[in-house]
Amino acid sequence: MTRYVLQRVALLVPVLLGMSLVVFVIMSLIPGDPALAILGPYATEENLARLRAELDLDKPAVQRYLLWLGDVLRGDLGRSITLERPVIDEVSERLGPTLLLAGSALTMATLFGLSTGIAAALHHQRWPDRAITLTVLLGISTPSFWLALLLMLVFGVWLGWFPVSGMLPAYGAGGPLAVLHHLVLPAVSLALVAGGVIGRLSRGAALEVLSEPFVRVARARGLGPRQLIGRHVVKNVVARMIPVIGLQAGFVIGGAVYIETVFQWPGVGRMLVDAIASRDLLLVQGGVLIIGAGYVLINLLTDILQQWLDPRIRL
Amino acid sequence: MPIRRRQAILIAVCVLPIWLAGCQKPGSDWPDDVLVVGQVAEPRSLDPHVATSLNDFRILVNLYEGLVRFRDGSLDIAPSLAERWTVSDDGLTYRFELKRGVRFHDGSAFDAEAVRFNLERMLDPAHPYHDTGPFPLAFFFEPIREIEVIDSHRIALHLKEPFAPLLANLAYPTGLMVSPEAVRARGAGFGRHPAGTGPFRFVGWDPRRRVVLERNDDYHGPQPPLRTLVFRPLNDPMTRIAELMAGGVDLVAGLAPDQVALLRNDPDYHVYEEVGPHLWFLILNVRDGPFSDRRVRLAVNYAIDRQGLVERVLQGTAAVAAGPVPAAFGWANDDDLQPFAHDPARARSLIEEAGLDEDTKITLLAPQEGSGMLAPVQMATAIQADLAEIGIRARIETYEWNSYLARVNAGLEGRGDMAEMAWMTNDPDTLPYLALRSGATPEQGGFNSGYYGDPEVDRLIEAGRRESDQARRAEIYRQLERRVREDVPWVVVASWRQNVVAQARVNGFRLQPSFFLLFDQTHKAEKPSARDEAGQ
Repeated sequence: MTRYVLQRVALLVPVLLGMSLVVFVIMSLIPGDPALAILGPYATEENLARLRAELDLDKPAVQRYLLWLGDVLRGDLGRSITLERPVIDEVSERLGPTLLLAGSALTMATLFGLSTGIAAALHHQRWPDRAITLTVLLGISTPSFWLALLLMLVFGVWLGWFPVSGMLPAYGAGGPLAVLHHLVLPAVSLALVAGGVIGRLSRGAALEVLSEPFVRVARARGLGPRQLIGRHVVKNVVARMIPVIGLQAGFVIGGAVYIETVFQWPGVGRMLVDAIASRDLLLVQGGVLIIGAGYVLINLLTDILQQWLDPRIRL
Repeated sequence: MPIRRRQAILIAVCVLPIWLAGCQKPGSDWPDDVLVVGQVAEPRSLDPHVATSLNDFRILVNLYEGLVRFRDGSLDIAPSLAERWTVSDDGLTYRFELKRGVRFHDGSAFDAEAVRFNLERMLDPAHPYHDTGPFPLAFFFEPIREIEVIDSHRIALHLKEPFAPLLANLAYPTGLMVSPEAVRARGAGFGRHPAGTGPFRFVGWDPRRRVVLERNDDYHGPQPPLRTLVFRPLNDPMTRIAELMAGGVDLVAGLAPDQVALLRNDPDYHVYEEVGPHLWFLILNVRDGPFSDRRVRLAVNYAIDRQGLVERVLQGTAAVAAGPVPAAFGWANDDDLQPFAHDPARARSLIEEAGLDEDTKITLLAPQEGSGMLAPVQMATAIQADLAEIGIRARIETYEWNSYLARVNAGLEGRGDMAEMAWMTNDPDTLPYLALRSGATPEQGGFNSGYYGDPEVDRLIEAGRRESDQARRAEIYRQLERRVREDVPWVVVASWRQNVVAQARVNGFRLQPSFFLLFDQTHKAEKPSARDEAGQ
């Protein structure tokens, strides 16, 4: 087990290396001169040349990549050219909001998905099953960008129940309750698609579990439905669903890029969008590295969790 | 037992919305002397000498003051920290008499030495605080040769050569005065801890959330009615309008044309619009290709339906422009100069006269989006249709904004025949000097990408720069406009009508032609009563 975990952690290195290389190549290929983006249309050729030299933009791409890699290996992600501060500072400030958003979205999606899935399976082929399946299908097929705007319009603008955007109120200090209040709309928008997928698959998983011999044995032993479901079905469905949930975690993090932009949520996703627009290469690299590392770690965590829940799986 | 649980769920489902509705609506718990402004982006720097974007300027003009300013509602020059000034007859010396008893927000005194510090910091590479830059717009003050402190409240600027735009450049945010003490204390961090002399003082900058300013109780002028100003970055256009409608901001800048149309007739909002010193035009390549013939240039000027572009493509967010000097410079504007009429018949006969082939192909360059470019791709397609009517087939090439600038600023030769461009300026001199002068071609480091050159135009530009008498200067620009209209190196299309939309209870706000947002006289009416609110 320990050896397995170490192996998987070691695998992070080639994955992140490959990812940073892809990002570097793409950022070098897309048009737009970072120096011009910073200095603006009034820039003189002389100032542009000076800034390019300052940013090492006059060096060949391969050399720039190796320079960056060397710095990263020494624990230095470089400085953001637009924010004029270390990339690591910016990324670490923004990691918290993204984790909060993605974490609560995933939690909501998981709770919603598992409960509806199991409920549907228990009422297999009857009306609650049909209603839940339809709802879940709607959830899967609704584009989250559209849903985000719809929720914003209905609950933010018309009903005024939740703030439209941001993480804290514009006036006054605002505490954890205010953050929660701001969190609802973006988290729900982000959770719905993942919740739909989890719901649909956990219905299937629950049906499978319910048809297994041990369920029949348990029933024969006189276990009531509550104990049966609580003690046996849920645990088995969760074990089967762990890889799906792990996969959805990746989609939730990806979806956060868009949701954070619409809701002005100050996380890594919105940072990436801004950084790409302003050709802030090092900031993009730093953000992608963090997201990539998170993705790989989540996958590892799901594997370990699955083994813990189901000892038959050997790692 | 199960029934009791079901009841509990039912109660929760019913109660939850009521509880949520009880949560305060954004804005409802703010005092009436707090104004929240929705900006298009996070500011880059609050150091006026470093900042280059309108988004930053809109905060800066409330924090700082310059020696002079643009008069309310116009682009005329008015006194600010300098109470009066004189210009020597040769146009080489500007003497300013400074207002007394003015203090920066950090308590230090504003005097002639402070003015010298401000200008030298930008201009002198040997200045101890020059490294707190970069100062991209320092070239506004490049003609200054020497800064002479006469006494504590009198200062003279000696120029290398006469330079009439100097006062307009001093009125621009680059000429705002920062506290030397604060720069010494903060160094390059000054841009995040600003101190000026303005009606509002800096309180805090929470990155990605807000910049907060507070009334400056020691202000040397009339006290502003607002106690607190909050600037929120709202990058997404949909979010901006949603926040306005939800009450999360009191006032928002830069809505899209169809969003403004939506709110224009709504009594809950007030739409402010103002045409600024902006010009949207097509550069014509006069060096090679069909536009080297003046008749073809004239033909496209008659072929393009400016009124149609402004009404249908830009939905009234721009005004048709007549010449290279934006009409917002009221003092220099030539009221007799009319925009080209839309006259396809005349355009066709000019094309025939020039002996141009039927189905001549040209390349039209357009950016995908860009600062002040106003729906550039839609504009390009509409222009393409207008040109097709007179037998010119335009092929549109679009580029991302920064690569577009790099491409067009390098010159159109071998790259295209016409290119969209837009400029915001602060003096009538800026645009002709940088983009119409024969000495300003890309080869010579200028922005004259179409290679237009005319000795008379060159002479007039030079004369306008040297003439410090405003009436005589205005006459020079009128001559310049007429000359440029004859030669038609560009298709001048429109000037941007910038918008700000505010909640109806925001009073005393006026959008400036400079597009700056000044809040020193703004106040909010009392909140409508609960019944009114429910009726909305």
